Amino acid sequence: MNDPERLIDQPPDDLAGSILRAALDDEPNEHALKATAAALGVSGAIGGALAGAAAPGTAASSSAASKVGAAVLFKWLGIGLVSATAVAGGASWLTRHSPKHAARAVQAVAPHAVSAPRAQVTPGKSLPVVPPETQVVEPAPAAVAPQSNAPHTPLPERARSAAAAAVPQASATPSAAFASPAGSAAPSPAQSPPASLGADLAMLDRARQALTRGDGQAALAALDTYERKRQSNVLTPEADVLRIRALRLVGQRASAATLARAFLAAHPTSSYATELKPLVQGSVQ
Amino acid sequence: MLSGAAVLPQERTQAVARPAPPRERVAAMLRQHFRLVWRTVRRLGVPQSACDDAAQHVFIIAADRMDQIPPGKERAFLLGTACRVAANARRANARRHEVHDEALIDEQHRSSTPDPEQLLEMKQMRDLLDQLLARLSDDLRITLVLFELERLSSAEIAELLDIPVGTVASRLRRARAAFQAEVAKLRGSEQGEQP
Repeated sequence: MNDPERLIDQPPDDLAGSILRAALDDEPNEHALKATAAALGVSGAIGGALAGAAAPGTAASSSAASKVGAAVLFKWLGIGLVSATAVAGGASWLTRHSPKHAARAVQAVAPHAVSAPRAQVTPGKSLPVVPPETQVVEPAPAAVAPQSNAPHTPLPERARSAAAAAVPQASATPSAAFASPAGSAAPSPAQSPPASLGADLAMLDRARQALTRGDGQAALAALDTYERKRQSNVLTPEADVLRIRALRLVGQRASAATLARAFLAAHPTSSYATELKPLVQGSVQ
Repeated sequence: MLSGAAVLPQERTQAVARPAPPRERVAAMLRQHFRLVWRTVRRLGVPQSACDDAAQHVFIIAADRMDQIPPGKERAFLLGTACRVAANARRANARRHEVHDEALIDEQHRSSTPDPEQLLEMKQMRDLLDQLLARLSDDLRITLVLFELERLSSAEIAELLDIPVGTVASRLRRARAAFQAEVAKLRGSEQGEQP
């Protein structure tokens, strides 16, 4: 089957293509990669990956092309229109001759789409808390202050950045804040109390290692510790799956099936569904 | 209830006690696909401030399931997982933003300025793109993003989403039509505002 010609490959004066090309400049930074590498325990093996990796398709020229597209679009839109007029249904305050005002208009119409400052806190999201020693690595921008009413006011990006910066690039040893899943079985002093997603991950790693040893009771104990001390809900699905495996390992199959059933009800499209469905189907009520 | 003394099938035993994934394979997967995963969750509606966490979540899941990912299928697994993680994050974000303070928006903007004019224009373009994509259904949005921005073929998308190629073609056709209709509305609005 022949695919249609992509809109994004249309000439620079095509509005749809110009808008799509704007996405080509939206890329992760090195800190994001390093933080993930640290969380996975492969910090020493991924250096420079972003710098060397190619973006899809027209990536090499994406920046220039998208900038041309931007110029065309803004010319079309009478400079500064971006907006909200169309998207928000006629709010014509989208403005003339002032990109700054236009940006504010877009933000006001669609706060979800705002590209927030990198250190900005996401309201209500339970995210890793910055260890005290890492909070001073970078000055805090003013954007943090307005959201201080959130239950947690973590700075995930800065935390990751600081943690990543703390990882010696030539070393395979992850930082304390982002302990290796396959690495340190014993917690370092910096890991207690847990203060980040990395700490949560480290606690789950102990459970995973216990499972690998065939020690289901130790895995359950580690998971109980995780439940008491976890700082984030991000890894809760993974913890649930580990608990199901541990229950199976110690012979508590009915409990495992019950938990698996609840998990599948809550996460029907989870990538763990393939593993868990046989447990539910094989259980006898 | 199953007997506690029953012997676990071999494959189930392996699922319970699996070895740590090979470090080299995890690193290679991260090197090759981190940008792809980050961009995908971003374009599927995860706010930029949450994309790092979402991408990290995708790789944590992948590393945990590494022994079940056939060699060469890493990208498909990551993209499929990214779609689900993005959907969850988008729903959570929508709930969080049900109440949003206008003053907070202004404050956020003030704190993010000044930007170079060109960068600001690009940001505006991306914001506009996000708004247009947000008007598509999940199925159409995923198809459009993977085809237009990640340059996957219809056949690759079909394999990734486990749907027939014809369904991909249909979704792509509708997605492009809907996207272009939104762009046309934008253009019409602009023309209507001209003196």
